[in-house]
Amino acid sequence: MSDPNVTPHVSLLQRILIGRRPKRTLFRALVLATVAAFLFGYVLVPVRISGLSMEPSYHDHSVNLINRPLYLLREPRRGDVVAVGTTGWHIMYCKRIIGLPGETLVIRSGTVFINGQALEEPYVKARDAWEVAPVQLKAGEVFVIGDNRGMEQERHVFGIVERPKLLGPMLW
Amino acid sequence: MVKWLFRIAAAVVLTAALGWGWQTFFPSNERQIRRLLDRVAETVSIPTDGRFVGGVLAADRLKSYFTPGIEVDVDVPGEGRHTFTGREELTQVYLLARSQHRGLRVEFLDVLVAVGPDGQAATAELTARIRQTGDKDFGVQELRLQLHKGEDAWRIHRVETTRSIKL
Repeated sequence: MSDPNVTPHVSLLQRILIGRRPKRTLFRALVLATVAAFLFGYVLVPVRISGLSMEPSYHDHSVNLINRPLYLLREPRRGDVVAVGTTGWHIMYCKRIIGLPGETLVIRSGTVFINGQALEEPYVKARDAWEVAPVQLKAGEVFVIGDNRGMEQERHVFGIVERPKLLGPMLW
Repeated sequence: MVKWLFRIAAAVVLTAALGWGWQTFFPSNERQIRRLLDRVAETVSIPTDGRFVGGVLAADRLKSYFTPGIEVDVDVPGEGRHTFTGREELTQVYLLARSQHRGLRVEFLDVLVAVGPDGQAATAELTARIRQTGDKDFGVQELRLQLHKGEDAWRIHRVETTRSIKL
């Protein structure tokens, strides 16, 4: 009869692949998989950025994580780079918040004015002469735009987003 | 004990099979609409080696998914607004796109279906992803579709652009 206090001898290869105790290894693997699925499915959602609208801040094909719980703890802030959902979360827009609820926003010759004051945007490196008529943001609405203002205005998706469509800010 | 486990497992498998069979042969309105949209996405996709005859057949198939009075009103960033009505015009637009592009894959993602209380009208919202074969970049179009149930099947009556980011 084998002594229950003695660990049976296992080969080095087996130890590397499944550990000394396979049941414990399997249990740990299941726990790890569950935690990873929850973490990367609901908390820190990985995304791949496609397109040029956020250059030079975020590059085409770069990878990031969306911090989902943050907007449960605080309201979106000006300057946050956020993921905006479409009809779901398979494809999202990556844009920066520049206008907050209750504000009036206008863009003249590429410069953004919030309630009549010019907005400082150090993240914008190239600026075309964009023109946007005054926009009054209601409660629960923010204004989002990309950082790449050197591209044609007509090819850039930007504007008013309702709060529930904001999935969360980028982690970095 | 083992016999009981087998009986429970058999009951679960049988229930799952019956459920699958019911959904396959008696699909709900929502399921019928989702299948229709899958067929539309597959039909509008353009193969890499698309031939003229294949295009004509695909256009003919495409017509059957829409009502005769189909209205299309889409706004593509950088290309402007496109509106047209009727199956014939839809077919012409499709064949023109097919002659100008090769290897275009169209997918409908995050489809939300709402069927009216009378079960004769429905609305579907989805995000279309359009990608050139082998290319990582893609185009995105959010769409709202209105559907009507005819004598035999659901058909799309109106297609319009919808936006999460509005100006």
